[in-house]
Amino acid sequence: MNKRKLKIALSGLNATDNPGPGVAVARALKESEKLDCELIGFVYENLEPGIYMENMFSKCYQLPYPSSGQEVIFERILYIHNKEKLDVIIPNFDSELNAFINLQNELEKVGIKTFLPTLEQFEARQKTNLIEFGKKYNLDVPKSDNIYSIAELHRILNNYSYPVVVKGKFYEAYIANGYEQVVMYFNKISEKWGLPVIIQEFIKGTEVNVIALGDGNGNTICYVPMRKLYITDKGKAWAGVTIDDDNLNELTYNFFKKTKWRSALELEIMKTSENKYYIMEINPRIPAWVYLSVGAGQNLPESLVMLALGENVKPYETYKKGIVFIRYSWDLITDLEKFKKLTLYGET
Amino acid sequence: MQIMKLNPKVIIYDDGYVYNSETGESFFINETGKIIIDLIKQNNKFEEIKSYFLENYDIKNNEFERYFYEFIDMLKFQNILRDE
Repeated sequence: MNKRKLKIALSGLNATDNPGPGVAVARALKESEKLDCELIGFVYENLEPGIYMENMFSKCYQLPYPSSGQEVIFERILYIHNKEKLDVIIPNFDSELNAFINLQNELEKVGIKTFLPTLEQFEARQKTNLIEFGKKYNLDVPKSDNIYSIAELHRILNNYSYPVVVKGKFYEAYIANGYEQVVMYFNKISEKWGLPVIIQEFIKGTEVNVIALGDGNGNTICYVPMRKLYITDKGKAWAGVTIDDDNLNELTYNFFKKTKWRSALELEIMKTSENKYYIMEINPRIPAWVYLSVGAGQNLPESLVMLALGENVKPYETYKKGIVFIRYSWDLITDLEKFKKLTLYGET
Repeated sequence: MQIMKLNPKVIIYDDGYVYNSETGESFFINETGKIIIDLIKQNNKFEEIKSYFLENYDIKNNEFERYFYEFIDMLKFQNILRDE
């Protein structure tokens, strides 16, 4: 079979203890049976490990941080596109998505394809909007309130029993067992991530995660559920196993049917002892453990690229159960050449 | 006693390793446990399983029943076994 030659740029090459998905996405694309991918890395930091991995990225370019504004990002992408003639871009950070969603028409005009959620979908699943999302689509989500000042806490906490979860609007979450702890975490989180801070009902249960891809028409193209076997102190999966839970399968297929979600996502779900499934978070991009989907028989990044190209992609019908992934750390040895180039010129 | 059925989502390997693909949990059962599970798989009822053990092992009736029910409760708790 002749593989289709493509040049694909992607970000998230920070394969650290809190890893971005980029290296796993790259690995999946390199193993594609349909696509012959040359990969370009979009990086923010000089020491993102993916930059230095052999035979993975033919070239890496620094991108301006998302806070620089989408015009600046677009200008930089145009510079890269002039040199590389990109076919597809896969942004792998939550923080990049807003800019890329807004830029997708401009990118399309210059010949770069993306496959992203709509702006409405991206906004609707924000942690601060999760309650409304649950109501709209009849999905179980934990009770939560958005708090803008400590003065509101007493009143809001009357509606909760301890422990409660105190969450930042982008990252971080802590379990608080009393009022004083809630105040402490409120201050800590608001200082770092701004307001609002989210107070959420604590749901006791088993955490399961889903990686999936929707075509935007209500169809689930890829779907692999996983239970974390080992987590880091940041709560990230260091090992996991594919599972087969009928209720979870139904929940996911219904999710895509109801929301018509376009693009990849990760669902973080808490399964209680009463067999209720609460959606704790919806991450609107490919998760770092995506290579497990390839191991289980579904190459999700390949399908995402095919959808970006406007192909008619047939949904996967099955995946292997009981497939395990175990992450590991590995010391790459390299000279200063790439580091020097990236520091001086912003590209390798 | 009701007919017992193994959860179809549970994989039991020859060496006694048990993987519940519904929950992602796994553990080992010993050789005797494996024999009981194999007998359940073959649709044997409690009386038939008991007869097998009383004939082939040096164990008394009430002793067998105690260990058997304890084991069955554990299998049900782990959702490996279900009453039909």
